Amino acid sequence: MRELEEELREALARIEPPGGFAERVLARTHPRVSARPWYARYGAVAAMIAVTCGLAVVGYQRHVDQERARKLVFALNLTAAKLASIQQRLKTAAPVVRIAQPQGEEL
Amino acid sequence: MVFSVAYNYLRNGALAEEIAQDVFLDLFRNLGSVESGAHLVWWLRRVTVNRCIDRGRKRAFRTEVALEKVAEPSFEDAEQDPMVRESLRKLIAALPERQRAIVILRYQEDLDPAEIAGVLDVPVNTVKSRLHRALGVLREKLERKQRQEARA
Repeated sequence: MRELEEELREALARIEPPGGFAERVLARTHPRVSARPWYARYGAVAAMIAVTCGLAVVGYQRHVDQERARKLVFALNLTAAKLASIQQRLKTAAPVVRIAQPQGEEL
Repeated sequence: MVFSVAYNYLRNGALAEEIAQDVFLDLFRNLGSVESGAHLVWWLRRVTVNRCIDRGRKRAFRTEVALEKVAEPSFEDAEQDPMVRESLRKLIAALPERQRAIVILRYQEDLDPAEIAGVLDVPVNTVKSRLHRALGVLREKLERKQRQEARA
């Protein structure tokens, strides 16, 4: 009996792949998009566009909300400043007016 | 190398080609991760063997070629007889998945146990023990036949 390891080396000698193997692999590496049906291709593109538009709308909405908040804060600050100014003018221009409470009447 | 490992593992030309194609497509997608020629060879062996083991498990190839059903090889003219080699291939195909992978990497790819351990991501001692066990099974099977022939 020949040495087992020698037999194994012979039994497991390398085998060449069948003819055209490289071409078949190369064919599979070409863009797969063309192999898909038209609806799958357009569906993928449409889904990509929808996702992009969705992200754009959300981004724009966020921008609009931030702008509104900024304007609101500005308006509130302006109003507060105006009110403070008016209050100051009232204090300096007019005497303190006290409204007398009628006797015997309860508020 | 890739087709050969797959073919010797699965003993099925169509499946071996399918696996080999998948491996090269994987390589095409992961070309950027290949660092050197040695790394490429290691990567190809690793991916091929893992795919073969997965496919072998899914298709339950072991049940297709049961060890006991394999025809015993004749050793009278072992130097020339291609049937001996074919019988040995069938015996290898009947080994458990990991043992089969180790035997193929050892005797087809001529890797030492440390290199096999690197490909399969297992300890070297595990490789050695599995290889020892696999050779034991193969040797026992062959010697049994030799004894039968001597008696006859």
